[in-house]
Amino acid sequence: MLGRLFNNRSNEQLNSHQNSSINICHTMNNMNSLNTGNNIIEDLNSRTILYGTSNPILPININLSKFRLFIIQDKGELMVKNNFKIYYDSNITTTNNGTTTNKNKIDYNIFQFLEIMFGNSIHHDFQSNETIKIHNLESLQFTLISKHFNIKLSNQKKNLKFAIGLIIPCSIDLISTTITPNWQTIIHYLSIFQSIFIKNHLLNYNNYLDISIFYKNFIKNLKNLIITPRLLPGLNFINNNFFLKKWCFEINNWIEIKDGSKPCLVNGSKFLLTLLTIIQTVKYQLINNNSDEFIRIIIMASNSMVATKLIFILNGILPFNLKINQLNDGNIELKRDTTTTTTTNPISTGTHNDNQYHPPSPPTPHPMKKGWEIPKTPSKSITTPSLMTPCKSLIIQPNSSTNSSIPTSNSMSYLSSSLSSSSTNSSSTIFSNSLTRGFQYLQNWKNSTNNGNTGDVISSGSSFKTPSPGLEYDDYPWNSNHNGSINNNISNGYSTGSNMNTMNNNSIKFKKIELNSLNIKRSTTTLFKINNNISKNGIEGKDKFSQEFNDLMNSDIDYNYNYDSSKSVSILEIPFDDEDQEDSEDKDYDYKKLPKLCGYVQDYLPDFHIQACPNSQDLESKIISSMKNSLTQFNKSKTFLISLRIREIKEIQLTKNDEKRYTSSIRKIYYNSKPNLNYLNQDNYTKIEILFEKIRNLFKQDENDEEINKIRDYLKNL
Amino acid sequence: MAFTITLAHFCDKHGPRSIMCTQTTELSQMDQSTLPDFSKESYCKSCLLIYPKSTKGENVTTLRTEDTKTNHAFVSTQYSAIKFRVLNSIVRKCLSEEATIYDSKPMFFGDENRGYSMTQSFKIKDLEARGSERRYSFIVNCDQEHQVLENWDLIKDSILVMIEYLQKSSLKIELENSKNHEIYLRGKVQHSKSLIEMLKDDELFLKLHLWNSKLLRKLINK
Ligand SMILES: [Zn+2]
Repeated sequence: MLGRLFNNRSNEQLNSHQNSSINICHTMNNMNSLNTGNNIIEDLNSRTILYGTSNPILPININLSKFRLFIIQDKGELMVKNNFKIYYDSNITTTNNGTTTNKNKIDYNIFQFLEIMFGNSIHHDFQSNETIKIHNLESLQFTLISKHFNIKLSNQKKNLKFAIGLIIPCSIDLISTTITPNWQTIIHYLSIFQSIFIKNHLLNYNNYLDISIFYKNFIKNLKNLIITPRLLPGLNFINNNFFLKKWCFEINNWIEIKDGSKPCLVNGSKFLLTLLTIIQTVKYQLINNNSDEFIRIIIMASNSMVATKLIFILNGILPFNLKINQLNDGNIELKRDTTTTTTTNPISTGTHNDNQYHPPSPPTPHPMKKGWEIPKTPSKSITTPSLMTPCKSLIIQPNSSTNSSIPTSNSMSYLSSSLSSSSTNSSSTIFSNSLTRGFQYLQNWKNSTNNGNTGDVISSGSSFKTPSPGLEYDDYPWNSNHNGSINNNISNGYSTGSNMNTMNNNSIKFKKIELNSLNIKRSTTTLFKINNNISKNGIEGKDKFSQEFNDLMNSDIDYNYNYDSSKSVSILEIPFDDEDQEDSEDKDYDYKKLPKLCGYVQDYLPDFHIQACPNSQDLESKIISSMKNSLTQFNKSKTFLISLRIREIKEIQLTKNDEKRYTSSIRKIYYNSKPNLNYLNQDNYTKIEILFEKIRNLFKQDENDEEINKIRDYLKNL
Repeated sequence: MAFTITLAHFCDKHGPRSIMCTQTTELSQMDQSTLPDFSKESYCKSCLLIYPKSTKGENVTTLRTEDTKTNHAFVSTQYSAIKFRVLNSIVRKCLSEEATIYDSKPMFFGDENRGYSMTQSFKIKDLEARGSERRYSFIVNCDQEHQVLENWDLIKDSILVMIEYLQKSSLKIELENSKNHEIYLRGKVQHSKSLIEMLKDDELFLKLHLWNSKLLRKLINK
């Protein structure tokens, strides 16, 4: 049969290229290689509390220059030599005078796998208009994703067959860590390429600058999705008290030090309470975006350590089924980290004796700094009180003076101006139909890059480097002296010394919660197969399957004959041979995708639901732009923008009215030291209040595992 | 979530065919996925689901494994009566519309109408087959794309061990046979031949059914 000849031919073609295949795995040191850490600030402490491992997270190495996008038509002319027409190829740049140049030296020709991609031309697939395919081209060590679509032009009889091909330079082993966790993004961009192509290029030949721009944007987004380590939620629910204790400890600290609560004296601010109420309300949308709403929690912070702790706190109530009772089986190591120093100031337990840690640059001068001594070198000292110490006793008061770098009024006006591009303030045209979505994207994308320069350039400057760990940069505008009138009654009563004393009382208990190391096997995007699929003799993974299957093949099968008279069917009933053993086993065979939540990053990442990043001039415009983009996939786009410096929580919401219009709203949920209770879910507010009460009580008495377990139960039912 | 696992074959006589399709049903509805007796006229040994000799005369058409823990039953039949059209078209797509490479590596395709499939195709050497080899494919299909993608490794490895076993064992048996003098005659005559013959295992399809059922059970448990 012709079909078979064809198949064999493809096979040989592939094999003949085996020798010249590019070996992507060996390009790890290439400049274009991805590795973790470009945008991520992390140290041993952050890694353990955010990602569940004290080891550096394994980087995924993919060579960015080996990505390739192309748009092809299958003309269906079997006997013609040039059956395929290439419309676009990201590897070829067309200059103004029409000459083409190859950007990268790539050792393969697209034509060699077009037949594989399109399939057998003799048997047309008329069944569907749009098909998605994934091919693994092992000899070239890449994965080919293709989206196929048919177009019927009014002046032509037959459907035209097109496909967009995307080459991702990763072998089959990496599919589960690179491609499947980011599938939505990949599919989304393929749709955008498709829309732009149909709208702009199908009938008129012109340059493909629009597609090129989106392609670059796509690569950048995908890169960030692949290299950014994702938070590991759910550690509070496992049967090991270390994390939960650490979590309660950090909450208690935050309430006392940041929110300024003092036992019996002062009810602190409700900042953390408000924030956790919000998280509680949207937690399911943060974990899986099955809803029609895309939610972002963005913490603007200049101090990565404070932001990291806050994210650790938020992460703690997110529902995520880790299914690791295995922790107790010793498969996941939980051991004391001997490199850690104990400090009496619990907030600055961040330790930086980790090799990965880069010494921070000197802190950026801040308008509010006078009156406080700024340590010249990062302080690792145990006894030196950090700048944190004095401020902990105070009620946090937002400094809404003009000294704040981003005054609220300013950011409000930014949003309205960016939304009022066409008609009214509250509603504007985003796209006329699905095909022009791409344009909206392009527009938004241009806006975001034109406004205030590109983020990449900014991030390389020193202004966003981590400040000294001893310096709670985000806090010192909150300190007493400048807002004296409000805080007088309390701040005057405490000297630094007496604060230290109260701290030490707590520290006696706190000391027990040292930084431990936990080494969950994971990548940036996924949990690895958790090794509970190890059989008794230590064989794991596929080998274990192989052994089980061999056992099955060599066994005698039990079966009974059964006759279903109502249906006149003769059935062989074959019982499972393993009903007793098999239960939870193998449930975690696969890589488990982690939700798109991350810690402190240098540049805002539009695809993540939770993140902390430094404020910058164009941050809000970037956020608004990405929110608009979300409306092409979701009906609502909501961002909770948290400014640590001015202690403010803003909710920005875009709601799609129809395909063309959306409505925007901004409201302040936390402002002027007070939550706006009208905007908060009362039930959740109460629930978090009770949680805080339980945690506060925990630290009033001796450490008690029973109480910890009660908190876990409470969290589970939250 | 409705996973099916199909063992498909490109029959020398009949083209792309489903040999065995394993489906998941709820216990309460399991009688709906059984298959009444059907005409075997358009089948040959190569493409027919063959039951052990001991059941001869009973006209068995259905293999079934019940699982009270998950409240499901796993049912294997020659083809799926419920999803016949869809799965039949997927089998054709896999074995003749796509440019399939028989390297047992996964390939994925899908659309809204026919769901999403991971296929792993392979060849078994047999001198009595056209071109001295027979071509098969395991097709795991589900209506939800993310279910297939998120269980990629579980599905891939579970299927791969079957393929590796079938290839290894059949080769061993083929080598033993070739020591006989028959080899002279063989290779000149083409016969249709069942996998149970090539593997010398009367209960082969029962075992494959049980293995598929285990995979389906794991997929439910997740
Ligand atoms: Zn046949």
